[in-house]
Amino acid sequence: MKEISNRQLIKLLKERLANTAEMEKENNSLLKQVDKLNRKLLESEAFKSHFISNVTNEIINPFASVSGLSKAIMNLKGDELKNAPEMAALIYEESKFLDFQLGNIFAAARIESGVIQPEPSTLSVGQVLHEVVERFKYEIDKKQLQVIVEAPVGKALKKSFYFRTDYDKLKLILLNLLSNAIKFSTNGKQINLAYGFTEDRLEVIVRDEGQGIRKEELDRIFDRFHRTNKNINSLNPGNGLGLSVVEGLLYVLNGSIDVKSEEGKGTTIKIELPEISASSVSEDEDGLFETDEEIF
Amino acid sequence: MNNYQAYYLYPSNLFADRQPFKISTLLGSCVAVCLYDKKLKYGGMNHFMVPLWNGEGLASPKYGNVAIQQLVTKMIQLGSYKRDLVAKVFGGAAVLNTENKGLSVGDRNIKVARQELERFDIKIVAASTGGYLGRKIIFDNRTGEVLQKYIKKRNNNL
Repeated sequence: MKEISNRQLIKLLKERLANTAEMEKENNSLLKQVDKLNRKLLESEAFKSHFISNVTNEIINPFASVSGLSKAIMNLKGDELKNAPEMAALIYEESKFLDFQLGNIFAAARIESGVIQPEPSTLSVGQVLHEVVERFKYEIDKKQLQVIVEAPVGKALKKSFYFRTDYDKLKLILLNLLSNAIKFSTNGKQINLAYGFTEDRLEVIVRDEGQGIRKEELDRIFDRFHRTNKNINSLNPGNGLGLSVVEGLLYVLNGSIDVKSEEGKGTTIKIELPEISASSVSEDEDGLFETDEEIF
Repeated sequence: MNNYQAYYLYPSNLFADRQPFKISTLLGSCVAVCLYDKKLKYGGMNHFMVPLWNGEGLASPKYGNVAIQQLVTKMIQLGSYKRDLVAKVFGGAAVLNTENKGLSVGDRNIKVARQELERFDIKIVAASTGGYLGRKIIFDNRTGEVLQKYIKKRNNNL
């Protein structure tokens, strides 16, 4: 056996002790994580049952209006017929709302079952934003909100006319962000939508003067079914899927999201995504390989 | 041999089909589990990025525990019995240089794959995991064979 001096022995012991302290620290932090996760999962279950009552609320109610209103139109006679366009407009609003809700539910389902892929096409960013604002025209008017779209100038504007990404996914992301901004704004407030580019990445900023998000809620807003206001009623619509879908879709598009919020003052959300290159990822890039193939 | 279809598997996705497919994917620190049914002669594959779903965001197959469970479930839905399934595991390289403390994401992904497959009692018959290089794999889901090449360029996103 090798002999070691006292000094060496003390050094060794000290090292080991330091290691133990380090491990204990890591152990504690892991325990904390487990504890946090545990609480989260318990909550998640509760949210799930919330979600089901919500969906019922948000799908069945609009459906009831749609079928009720269309039946009423069918029965209009003589003079009453002039009311038809107004009633049809209500049906249209309800169906747009349904379309949005179902879009979120299906997107969440596709993300969760792992069958979601980018389907790129070339689009005009301004045009997509215009469509998104148009979709919520009724809600915007009802709350007398001012929605301002800020377009970039010069080269960036030109670039924004031909941006290659997934149209449906980008649109659903923006629909969710604007829907939230509208939902959490009180009457007469302003919402800004700005877009531009940094280093070839598209940037869209949605800024509202709404109620803001509490600090302790901030890191929970992407959790599925999580809602900052847990009451289910007509004043507080939503199913808690929106931002988790946004995050999931941005992930598919290789993008990112940044949320800044001050309670009582408003929320600013910035999303960023790269252009999808014309040559798809699935292409065989032979130059990359340094070894021969092996078979397993 | 011409009746194969090609399928490129994106990260966080999974795919299984009774028809013959060549399923390909690119892996860095991600792990792909190929499951093959020895009786029915077909298979499926997942491609996950991080080990465990922690309640954040959607419970997608981006997470190892979700991805493996879903792939097994999918193959059972397609008519497999669990006892006929065998697994091959790929990926989990340490492509990020910044990781110095403890296990890398790749290591933890591999660990979760092994644990979960053990939990389902599915045998791992082949594996190529760890190291520093990314991989491209092509899974022939009719024969169960997996062709692998290493990738020279480092890609942090896979």
